[in-house]
Amino acid sequence: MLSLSLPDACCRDVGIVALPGPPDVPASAAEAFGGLPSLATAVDALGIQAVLGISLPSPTIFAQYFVFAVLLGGIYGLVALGLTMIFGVMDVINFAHGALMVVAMYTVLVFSDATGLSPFFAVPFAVLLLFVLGIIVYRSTIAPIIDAPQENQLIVTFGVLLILVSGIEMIFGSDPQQLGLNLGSLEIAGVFVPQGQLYALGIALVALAGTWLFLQRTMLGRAIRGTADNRDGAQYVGIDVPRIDALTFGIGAALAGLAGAVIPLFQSFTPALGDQYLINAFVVVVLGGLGSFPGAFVGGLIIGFIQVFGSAYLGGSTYQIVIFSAFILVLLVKPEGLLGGSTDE
Amino acid sequence: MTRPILETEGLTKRFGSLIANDRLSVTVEEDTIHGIMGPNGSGKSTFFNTVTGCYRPDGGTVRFDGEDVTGWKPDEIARRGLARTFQIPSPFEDLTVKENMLAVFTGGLRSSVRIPEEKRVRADELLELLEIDHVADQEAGGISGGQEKLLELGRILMLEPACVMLDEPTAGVNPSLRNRLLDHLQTLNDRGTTFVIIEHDMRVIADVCDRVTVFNQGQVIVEGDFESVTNDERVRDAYLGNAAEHDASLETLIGEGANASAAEEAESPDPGATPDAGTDPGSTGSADAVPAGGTSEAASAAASTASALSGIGTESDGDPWLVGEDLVSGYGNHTVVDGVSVESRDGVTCVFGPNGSGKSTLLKTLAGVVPAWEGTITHRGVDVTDNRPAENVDRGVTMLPQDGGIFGDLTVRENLLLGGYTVDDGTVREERFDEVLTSFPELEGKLDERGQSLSGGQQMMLSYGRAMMTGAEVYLLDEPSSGLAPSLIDQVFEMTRRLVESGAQVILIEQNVREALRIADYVYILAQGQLQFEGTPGDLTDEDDLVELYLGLD
Repeated sequence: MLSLSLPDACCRDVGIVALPGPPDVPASAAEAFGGLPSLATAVDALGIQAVLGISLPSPTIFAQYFVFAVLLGGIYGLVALGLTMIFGVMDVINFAHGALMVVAMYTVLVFSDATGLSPFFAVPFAVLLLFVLGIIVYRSTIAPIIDAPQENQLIVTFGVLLILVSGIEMIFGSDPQQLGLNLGSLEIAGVFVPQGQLYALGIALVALAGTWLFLQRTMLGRAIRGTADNRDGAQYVGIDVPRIDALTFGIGAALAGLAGAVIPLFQSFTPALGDQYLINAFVVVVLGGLGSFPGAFVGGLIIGFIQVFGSAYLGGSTYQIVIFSAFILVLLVKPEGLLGGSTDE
Repeated sequence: MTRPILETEGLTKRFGSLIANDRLSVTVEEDTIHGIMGPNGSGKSTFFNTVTGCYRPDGGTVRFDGEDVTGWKPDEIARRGLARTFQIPSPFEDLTVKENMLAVFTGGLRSSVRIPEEKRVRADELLELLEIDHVADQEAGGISGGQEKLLELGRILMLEPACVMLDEPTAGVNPSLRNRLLDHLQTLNDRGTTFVIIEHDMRVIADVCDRVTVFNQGQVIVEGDFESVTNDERVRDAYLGNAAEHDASLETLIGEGANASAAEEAESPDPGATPDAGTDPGSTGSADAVPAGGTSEAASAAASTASALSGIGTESDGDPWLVGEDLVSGYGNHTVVDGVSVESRDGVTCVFGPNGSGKSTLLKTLAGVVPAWEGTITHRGVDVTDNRPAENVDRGVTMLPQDGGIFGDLTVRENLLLGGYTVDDGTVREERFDEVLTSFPELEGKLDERGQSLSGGQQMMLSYGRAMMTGAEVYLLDEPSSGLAPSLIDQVFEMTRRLVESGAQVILIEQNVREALRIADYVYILAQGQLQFEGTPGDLTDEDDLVELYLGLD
């Protein structure tokens, strides 16, 4: 667990950066970020600049934070995508989302170990597997109670979470695992871009575009949006709503799988990592607007920026307070979320 | 005896621009049972809510028992002696029936921690009086819908109120229990409790109410005894709708409809219904009925629509395509449709009935949206009773829900395309798409706008157009004209007629009976979930009969 929360440390306390592992590891959200040894050098350099008496950030440091924030925000957006889709169509809050991500992480691990292929080949496999798993979970647990009050479904997905995470812990233990990839960083004009996260962001954008096109351009996609818009109305035009639900849950799980599958590219993981991402994903989804796709990315970026810049300038875990203050503020001012109120944009 | 116990003066309640209660002045005499009736949305429940303090009035006063209680809190008003029930009973489901009774907070915050003996005695007495003492120790979540209603009444009576306001006490209650409930009301009334009841079941009003106030559009239109109220022309207008030609007698209107139906093949009517005078059951008329008043404009429009629907290859053969037999359905433990048999016929089959009579539920049951508890539904001889709505649409049975059911966030184009969701052949879908646009040119310029941005009339066109995209041969239309300006109602009937002329069978629910009779070829009248009448419009020549049937007076 090297160099966690680097941006946090670099301006505030250079001494901590020099240590291999900061003693006061900030809360889970920060853990999600970082984990690449190669980054340590990158930020070490920044730390040295800080030591040289630059109290205001130089353009380079600022650009560095900006890159970190975008990368982190993109991952949060990807994590939130599947969550927001399932909620938008089915009104189900899927607590198992994080657990599905964890399944994908370990799928990538097992796949790479077993085949010896690059983990990149494991990503599509994990997505496909999670799609099938999602449909099985939907059919076996949610479909029978889809008309029950919302909290019933919520609790059922919580049960699924416990089963999946405990199952993985039983098989793999709870020690951190990593793929042993060392993708390194690109350096552009003094700004370091960690490649693992760059690929993850690229995959996230492709996933967003692909899902978007599917929803906008295909008959099935329109049927999903129609069902999200008016479940009652949908059945009157012959849309088989339970089937659309199954499909939606499958796609939502596949998106969780995608998010889960790219995280090992830049971070070590444990069975508990999914929950840590899930908490932030909930904030992201509510910030952006429940059911809104671009909202998921906007919300993700907001959280990414608050986390990176907040930990850089506010010290400790203060940024967490900022995140949840922003969350509460949005709920007060615009309860439907920044881009909420519709599901198709 | 003639002391007023509850008086409102100029009581007004607004929701935004909607005036739900418009200067209502109602006087309820002590020791009477006072009925409040009025069509859907006339402000009855709002009146209750405003009087009992659930809403703050925007104007006017409420006097109860000689005291001004305007603006009091609901619990204060309840303890002052003016109690109420709600339309949907909500007992504490995990408590027993008796605990529900004892849970009533008779003394406000001064209620002591221990339940006094006299409260227990009163609870026992009331349970016995209401004849639900045999379920006293059962959990309230498990009792029947009717028992729930009685429990609701019992809980209110724990407050020993001088006046009780009941919101639809008999809705969803079976006839025998309803009679019991009414007996209890009368017993309690004899003992000195005043009742104000909102009721759709006119038999209840006729049986128990001393005086009746009729609301329409938030105003009192008439007050008097039941007899004089039901004979009042304004009341008939409120319930049956204003005919466009106000001077035209109903006979003329019906005459037009009857011409159309004369050419109809008539199934021999249910023997239980009123004698079928208009048609000869043996005659097999021409299958293509031309509805009366069909202008040449309509005919040409219909020609284009006909090809849009050609996908199914419908051909009128005089048989009913969609048949429901002895249908029973409802929600939860409330039976709403109680043994109704209906058929779709060539032309327009109208279903009339007061609010809450089960019309929408009947249509939803036919469409598969609400499962049938009993009875069978067949489409072209195939049993479709357990079909899901999607399967029925695929078979050619499409329902237009009351709100149109359009996708507000999707564009008009997407709405229409989704109408063709069950159509696998892309070219057929596109042909239909073009033809729907020919029928509704107004939509063409709006294709990329969102459904919710359209005007009410355009949304209705969109829902018709979307339904036509399914290529159905049986259309179930649930009050397509509701919420539309009167000028658009003609358009709705025009579009309905087009569906018929394209060869489809249409079942239409309509509140505006007088207008709908102009296009009806066959009529069913429902009240309290049961069929009161079926036959051709020609059988309905006497408006008094119609009023009685419509109001469910038998």
